[in-house]
Amino acid sequence: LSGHAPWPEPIAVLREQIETAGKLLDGLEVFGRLRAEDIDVGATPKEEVYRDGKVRLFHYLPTVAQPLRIPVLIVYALFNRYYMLDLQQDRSLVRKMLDQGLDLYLIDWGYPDRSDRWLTFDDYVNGYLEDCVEAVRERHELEEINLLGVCQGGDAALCYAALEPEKVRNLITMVTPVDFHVDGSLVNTWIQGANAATAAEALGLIPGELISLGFLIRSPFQRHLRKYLDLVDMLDDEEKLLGFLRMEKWIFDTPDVPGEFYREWIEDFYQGNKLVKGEIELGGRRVILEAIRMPVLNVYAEADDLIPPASSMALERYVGTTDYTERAFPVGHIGMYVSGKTQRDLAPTLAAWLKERT
Amino acid sequence: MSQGPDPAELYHAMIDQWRRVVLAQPGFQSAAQGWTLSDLVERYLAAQSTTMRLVELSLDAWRELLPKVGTGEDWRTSITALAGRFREQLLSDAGTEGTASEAQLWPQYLAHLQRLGLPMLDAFREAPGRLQEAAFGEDPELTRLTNLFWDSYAQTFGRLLRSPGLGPGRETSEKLERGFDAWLEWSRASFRYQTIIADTWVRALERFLSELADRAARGESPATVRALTNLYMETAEAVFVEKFMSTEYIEAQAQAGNASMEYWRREREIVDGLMKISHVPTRTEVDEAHRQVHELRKELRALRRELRELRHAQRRAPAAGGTPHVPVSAGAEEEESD
Repeated sequence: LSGHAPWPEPIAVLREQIETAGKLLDGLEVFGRLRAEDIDVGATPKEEVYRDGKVRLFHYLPTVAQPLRIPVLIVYALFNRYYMLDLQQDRSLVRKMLDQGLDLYLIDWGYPDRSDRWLTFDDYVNGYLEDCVEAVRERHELEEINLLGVCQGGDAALCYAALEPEKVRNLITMVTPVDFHVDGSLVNTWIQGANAATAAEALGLIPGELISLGFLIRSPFQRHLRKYLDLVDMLDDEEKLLGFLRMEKWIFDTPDVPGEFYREWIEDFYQGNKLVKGEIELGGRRVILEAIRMPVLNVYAEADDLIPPASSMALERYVGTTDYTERAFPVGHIGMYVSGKTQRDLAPTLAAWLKERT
Repeated sequence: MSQGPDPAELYHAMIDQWRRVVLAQPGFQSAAQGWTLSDLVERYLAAQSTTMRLVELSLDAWRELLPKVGTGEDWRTSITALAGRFREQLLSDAGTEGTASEAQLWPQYLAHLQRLGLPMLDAFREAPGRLQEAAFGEDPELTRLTNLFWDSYAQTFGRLLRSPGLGPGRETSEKLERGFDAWLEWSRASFRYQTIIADTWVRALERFLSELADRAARGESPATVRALTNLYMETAEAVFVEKFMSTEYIEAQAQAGNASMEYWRREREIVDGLMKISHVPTRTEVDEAHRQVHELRKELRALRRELRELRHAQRRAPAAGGTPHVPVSAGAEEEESD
């Protein structure tokens, strides 16, 4: 044992130092060229077609002459910003869905402030989401539209589809938690002991920084340290560096969450697992997943440590539809939006499934 | 054993050199005006420094370990002993706070509250008439309250604080007591949490040293500093994630988080009291106003929805050739029943 040094030879360290210093100095030139405005996320052309306070409804400009007749309304999560679906031109699920001929709308929940402290899950589902659905229906003079719920937005979409099934032609859920009591998620486990009511009362708004921290601490060394050390290898490549910076922006651009919404989300969904028990009540009406009888496509990530696959796959046991399809992708939670595999295959999968049913 | 410069020192020197070079560049200053870039550089350098400090600690430990290994002593036992000593040091340093009596903690609590009180107290200095008197007169209420606690603590070691308060300051006094209890609970929970984290750092170090020893025995030592730091991070991450899943950690995290929220809530009660006497709207009052606006908006939305459904029904009516059925929203039903 004592014959081998447990650390690198000094000469190797010197060589590494010289190489790294060279990379860093080259990278300095790239740094010098970049400006904050170069981090242009969510750049696919879109127009605002409806607004209620901080909530906006966007319509993406179609890229094909004849998009699918029934549009898709994307319902993203409140805990992060929607532009993860449109991070950059060559890594944009939105752009790829447009190219597949889909007509896309998206709800931007905005950045809640203290005046939104009392907003509830009901306000988001029966209020904002319902109004956005109405806006799309009116614009297209349609009785039904397609819904695509992403992550927590999938739960809002599920609740809405269960309450207003006549307005939803097809429902797609993507990396959506359904059974919150399955094993395998650190976040699920941690949340079980949280006193959300006290947090809501104490803070009013749950700070986005706190939520980011909760997500990042799942793997502290990888997410806090290593990624910055690995940065040295991409410093001299402007495109890669910009990609890193866009992702970095998204990770830390976490909106504050209304306290009352947070309390309900933690107590009713995570701790009470009420969605699958049929005990969620919104606007005086009970959410029964069995009422979802329209076609359902459930897309999940096989390596998702935030929303375990088993949590998403539970949906099949609770919905009332006879047209249920599952698609798994060999990626993690974030990979679902940006990995090469999903960038190639996800949009065609969604489009093909919708076209068969429209 | 290789002789020569210490790899960790070399790498540290490189980081410092890079920092100096970067900060001296005129281009950097302009680039850094965008928060993302300057933040990124800082994060990169901080990550390097942090990781190297951890690796340095491990290498120091290894240096201490090596002579024992040379004597034929079982190196795993030596690593365990070394880790035990680190743990003892860490916990004894932290133990002072954890075992402090309430009498020692009370002044700390008051000092903690000062960060809230001072701006408000400064404002009182300029306030006219009775308010100024109340706050900074011959016998200012806040000072009296504070002295009451100090005196009573000195005389009774805190027991008097648990007895019911009397006089005009009774309510404020109770709020301060509740705040102290919450602060104490938060301190305890936080200490327990930090203890677990400190122990996990030691375990990570222990496992890293074992991994290094295993590799050295196989002649597979990391060839670069990068490989060494990566090995450290992978090893430490595994140890931390294991701990994160343990019942001990989950309970400690929940207790610390919940205790901090409870303290925050109690602290707001105290701040609200200070705001009221200075004619400033309290957070609670503002929240209450927001709640009323929220309820009104809900009613408005229900009415809008009802109107929309009515219009839809009217549009459909001529085609159906009959009187339309007008659906009534849940909100409207509630109003009618009220």
